[in-house]
Amino acid sequence: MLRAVLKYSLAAGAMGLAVFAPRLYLEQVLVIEPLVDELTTQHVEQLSLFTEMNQHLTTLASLVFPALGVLLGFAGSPGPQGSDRRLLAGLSAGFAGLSLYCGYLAHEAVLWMLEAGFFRLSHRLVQVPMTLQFMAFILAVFFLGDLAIRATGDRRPEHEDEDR
Amino acid sequence: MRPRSPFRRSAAVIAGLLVASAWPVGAKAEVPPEIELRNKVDSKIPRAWTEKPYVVEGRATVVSEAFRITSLRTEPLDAESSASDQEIAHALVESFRDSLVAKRVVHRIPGAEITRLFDEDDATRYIARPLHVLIRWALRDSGDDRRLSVNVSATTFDRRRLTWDAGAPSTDRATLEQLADSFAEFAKEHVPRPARIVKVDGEIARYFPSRRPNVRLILETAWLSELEEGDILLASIDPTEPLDPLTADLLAASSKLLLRVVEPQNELTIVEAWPSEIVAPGQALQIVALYTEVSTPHGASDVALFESTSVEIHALIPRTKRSAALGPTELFDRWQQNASVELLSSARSTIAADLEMLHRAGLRPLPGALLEYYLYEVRDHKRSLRSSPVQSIDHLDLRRAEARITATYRLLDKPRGFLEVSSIPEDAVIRIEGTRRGYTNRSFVLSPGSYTIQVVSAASSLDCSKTVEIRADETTPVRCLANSRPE
Repeated sequence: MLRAVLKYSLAAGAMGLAVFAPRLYLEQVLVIEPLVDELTTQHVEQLSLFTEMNQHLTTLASLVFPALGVLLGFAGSPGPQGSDRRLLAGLSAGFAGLSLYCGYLAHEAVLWMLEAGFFRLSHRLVQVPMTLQFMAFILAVFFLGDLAIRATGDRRPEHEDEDR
Repeated sequence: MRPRSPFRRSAAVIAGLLVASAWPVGAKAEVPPEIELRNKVDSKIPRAWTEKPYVVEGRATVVSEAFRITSLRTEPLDAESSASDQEIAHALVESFRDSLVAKRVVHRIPGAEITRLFDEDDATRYIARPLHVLIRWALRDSGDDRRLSVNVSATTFDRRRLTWDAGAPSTDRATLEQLADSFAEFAKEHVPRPARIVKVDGEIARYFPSRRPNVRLILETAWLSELEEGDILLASIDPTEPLDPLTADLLAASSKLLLRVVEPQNELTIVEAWPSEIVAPGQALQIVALYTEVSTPHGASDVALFESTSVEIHALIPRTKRSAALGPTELFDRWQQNASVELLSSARSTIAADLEMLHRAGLRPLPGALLEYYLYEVRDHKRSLRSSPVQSIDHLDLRRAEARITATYRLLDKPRGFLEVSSIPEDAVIRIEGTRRGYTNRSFVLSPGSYTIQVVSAASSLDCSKTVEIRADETTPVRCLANSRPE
């Protein structure tokens, strides 16, 4: 029991750190940028592409959650490897959530940038949360894939046994 | 048989997912790299000149071919002179009617008149800008035959200076014709017409010295419905609250709008403003400044125009067509009815302008529910500050509530300040903290803190270095003149 509480506390702490660290970092980022009076056509196009990419990643990261539900249901009752599956599912869900959060941060950063009066999507203020969003999504997909392989791998021997 | 490692298939799946997920992102990543454009402000920094005043002098503004003599100052020519200011003014107007310039510009403008007379103690400074003409008259006393001398100067967009001195008999007529033609072409090209001058009384509903050296004046919009396309707006403006020194300085540095700023006890009052842009209903109106004067209790203003940065003064009129597309008007009315709180026109125009800004930034329209929620938040915020129920909401209520609302719903709200770096001559390299950041004149957004600014130009022996403290929401100017220390 104590071990489980410890594990969950550690997981919660790590997740909290993952959530607050990007924001704290962004608060400290130094800005020295030329003031932009009006957005040019190129700026608007860049903004459009950024928004599109952000939406794609947000959609894909959101799809991780139903996929996890399906996989956990598909895997049936937890067997000896149930603990590993829960861990993989938790990691996948955690990183998917982090990806969504970082996407939101990037969105906020762009809004702030527009309000502040400059425009550079390659600024660390936007790039860092964007990169984190993508990397977190990749990790979420990685763990989701691992879970999928294990779940299908665990099922197949049962079918093979039935065939025999 | 040894089972195959699930990670081999896992790797294949992940690779597939990676390719699938990276595809749209990768495609977008190949768009042209970000293009750093020089701030438009750079081109708006005025290049001004000052000239020695004549005995009798005046200023005039070309406003959409409207020729308005806006000021006149006289000094006694001699003890025997009996001409009054009005007589001289009348003579001036009449002289223009018959002059070469008058044929090109003035005679098309009915009602050219002297609208203001300077006090003798007033200090005057001049800036000539595109679309603007500096005119001075010299009343020369040559024995009994006193005649008017007219000198016209103008600056074109390519910074050519046009001068015509009708009082100089030796001036080559062909040259004058050429200059006048050139000026007429220039005016025809750049000055909209026809125009109707509408005089209105408005007030500065809000101003904010933010986003580059820019003072934005939002006028009350009650009178806007009276305007027609092509109208010229002539506004008398009184600020609803004292202007802070920075704003006053920016106004004083303004080079486009004809303003008169009086400063009794550090409280500035804008007396007059002449816009020079065409006004259409439902369009954003930009009032631009021609001339700014600051009269202090000590008399002359020490605002040197060549140190000024461009200041534009905007009066935003809600864009009715686009607003209709966004649907805020209906939302405003509905909310007003539901909440039983009047949403004043100033608040409506403020929100509409903000929505327009979102729209122009390529962001999706604000959902109606969110807008209504925002208005309820503003109402509740106002209610929390007073004991009586809220009857109406104006633009100031929006701004007062804004900080609280944004603080509640924003994860990221970094403070930032502004820096203006200007130099004479221009095109000097700007280094901030040792890093090259473009050329003067330019404005920057910076995180609050201390920065070392260098302005260097080998061509003009310009080498200034200064450490400035950037404060949140404030604009810090760094001005550097050749062979002088930075300010």
